[in-house]
Amino acid sequence: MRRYAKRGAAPAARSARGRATREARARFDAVTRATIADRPLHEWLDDYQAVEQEWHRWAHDDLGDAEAWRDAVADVRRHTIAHLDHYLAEFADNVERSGGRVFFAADAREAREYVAGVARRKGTRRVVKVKSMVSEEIGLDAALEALGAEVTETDLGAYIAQLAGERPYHITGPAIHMRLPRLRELLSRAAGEDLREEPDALAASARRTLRDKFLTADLGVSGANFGVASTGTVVLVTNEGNGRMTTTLPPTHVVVMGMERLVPDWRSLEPLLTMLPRAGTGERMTAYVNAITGPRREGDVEGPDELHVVIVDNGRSRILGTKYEPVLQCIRCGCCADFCPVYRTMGGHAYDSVYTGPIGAVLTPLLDGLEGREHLPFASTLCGACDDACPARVPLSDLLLELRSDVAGSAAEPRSRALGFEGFAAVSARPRLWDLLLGAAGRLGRCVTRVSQAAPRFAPTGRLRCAPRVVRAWTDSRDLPAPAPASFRRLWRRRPRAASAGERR
Amino acid sequence: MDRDVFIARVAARLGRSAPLTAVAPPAMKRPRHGVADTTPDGTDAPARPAGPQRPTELQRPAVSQRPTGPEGREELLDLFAARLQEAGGSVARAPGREQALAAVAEFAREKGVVGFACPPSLRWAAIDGLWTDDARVADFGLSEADWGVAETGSVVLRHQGERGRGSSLLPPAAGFLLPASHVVRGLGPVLAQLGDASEPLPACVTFVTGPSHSGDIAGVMCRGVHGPAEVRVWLIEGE
Repeated sequence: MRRYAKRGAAPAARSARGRATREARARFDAVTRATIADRPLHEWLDDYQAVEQEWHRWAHDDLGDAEAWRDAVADVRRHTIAHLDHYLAEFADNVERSGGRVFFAADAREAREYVAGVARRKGTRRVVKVKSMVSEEIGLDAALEALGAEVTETDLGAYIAQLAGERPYHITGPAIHMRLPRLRELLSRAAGEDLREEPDALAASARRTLRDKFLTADLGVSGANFGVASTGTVVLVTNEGNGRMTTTLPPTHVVVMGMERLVPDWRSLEPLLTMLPRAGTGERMTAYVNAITGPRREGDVEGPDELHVVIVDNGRSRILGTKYEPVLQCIRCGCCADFCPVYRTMGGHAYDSVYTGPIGAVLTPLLDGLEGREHLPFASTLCGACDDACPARVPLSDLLLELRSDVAGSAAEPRSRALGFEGFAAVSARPRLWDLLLGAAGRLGRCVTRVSQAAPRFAPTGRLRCAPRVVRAWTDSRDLPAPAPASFRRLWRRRPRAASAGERR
Repeated sequence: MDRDVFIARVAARLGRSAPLTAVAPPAMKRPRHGVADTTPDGTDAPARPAGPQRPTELQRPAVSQRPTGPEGREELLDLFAARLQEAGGSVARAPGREQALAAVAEFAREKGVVGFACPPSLRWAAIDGLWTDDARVADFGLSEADWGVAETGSVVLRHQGERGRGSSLLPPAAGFLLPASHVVRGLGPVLAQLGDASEPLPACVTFVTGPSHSGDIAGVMCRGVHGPAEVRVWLIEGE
């Protein structure tokens, strides 16, 4: 039998850890409750998901055999991850061959310091960013701002989230929760003029503000949707064009990418470029896909003079070779959140991470460590909608279950729950004791039936409405069926023998 | 971190004592697009549902069979036009290069263009008064596309030398000249050719599919957020 209570750290360390866990849990509860209480936000998120799901279906129906394309994406991703050592070396060689520089960063600090070093050497005053979840993961903005540089997110949604000082709400739609009055307030303040509350007027204002940033920036920081190992190419997929601006206008371009973003060759890009736009925004193709191979060449009229590619581990190699490896197949389309009933209910900020939705619930504890993130794997109904939607066949529900079992084996598991399970294990292994307790439960059940006849308020139709503290979390929102007056075992023992024998024949 | 240490760590996690030096490419079965070419003229392809309102009656696109027999050139060009229109762009067809350039000049005149950006070698008499070499101040940019992809309505640009990146990105409207014979059905052949090691890749290759757009303002589709709000492709027949 597994001993839960005796595992874990020494008492002092456990109480410090317990505090981090409790605080994170309290934040999570507060954000979730606030979202649930905000009815207009709720309806807004409902509508958002309904539209995204409709577009998603349309784009996949258009494809014919979408399952075959999912298989193709998963095949490419699995193959790459299984041979990642080889493709990392090939990719780095080819980036260097095309004139770029490569830096391998073991963790967030190394990555930040390298990029800050480039910025310092270049005397950077203004930085524009695109597709940079990894840069958010490693806390790059603060490092660049410490040098006195102004850092601007250029994806419209990410820019809005930055103006609001908020984390991204959704992987592909960082500001999907905001409605027009709030957007008008934020963008008017940024533009220094009173803008009309119309989408086109607001977008046009952001275009003007950000165009000026693009034209005057001296450093462009981008992520990478894919890195093609066979040619050392960085591929960016965007709808607004900020990916092209950031990689074209500033004289220095720094790519910050997770080490698992690679694909073997151009041929393997086909399923990815077929599925990413369909899963991400429900389109056949995004407005722009740009493929960068090194800095500008001699004779090129445009393009950066310097290209740096920072390949970030930051916890990813810890996932390799474990049961969690399939999470690295993710292509960051964000469609798991578009199908998740829990995301819709508690909102993107409840994840308290760069990565939101079901993938965030899996990836965040794996990258940051389980401590203080123990509640995330439980923020799921395990309905499997995300599994069905995922273009890369990441088995999200399975991974969430694995994480739950890790939490159960960790110090964060409440002692009472561990004791409860130990008690259950002890009782269920002893038939006589089990029988005795079931008999007692049956007497309680008969008692409840009598109460329900006398005072239906507490137990209508034989169901418990108020119960002892331990089960109140359940009975607060649901009815608990009362134990049956007689257990099945008892009924079985008392069955008429002859008749049952006859029926069997 | 040192590159070799980094890669050795990855190899160790994958259960290898030393990094792999050679890998057979992935055994990838390329699925076929099942529906792409719905109707013979490509015009009845189901439209993307409108947003951001909650859809009321869900119209499920019909699944029809791919046409059999040799693929007609015309059908391919129609599909390209239909798909680009759906992405928010437009297509005009011209029997030859001269006619295409005349149509572009006419288009620029009608729009009241005052700054016309295109590579110097493309510059021709009709736009002489409007031409600029600075795409940042242009209000229309013309680029030569290398390929068209019918299934997605995309044009593919290899940016090198004087074929810069700005003329298709910075002005509020962008035009492309595309030889009709360079239109292929799917992404596959284009990707295969770009990945062909015998031909060095330019520093930048771009796939453009319709105008720049974003749904980040309250879920409403806004065009021209960073790149052009208007995209027009002139298909040149006989090229």
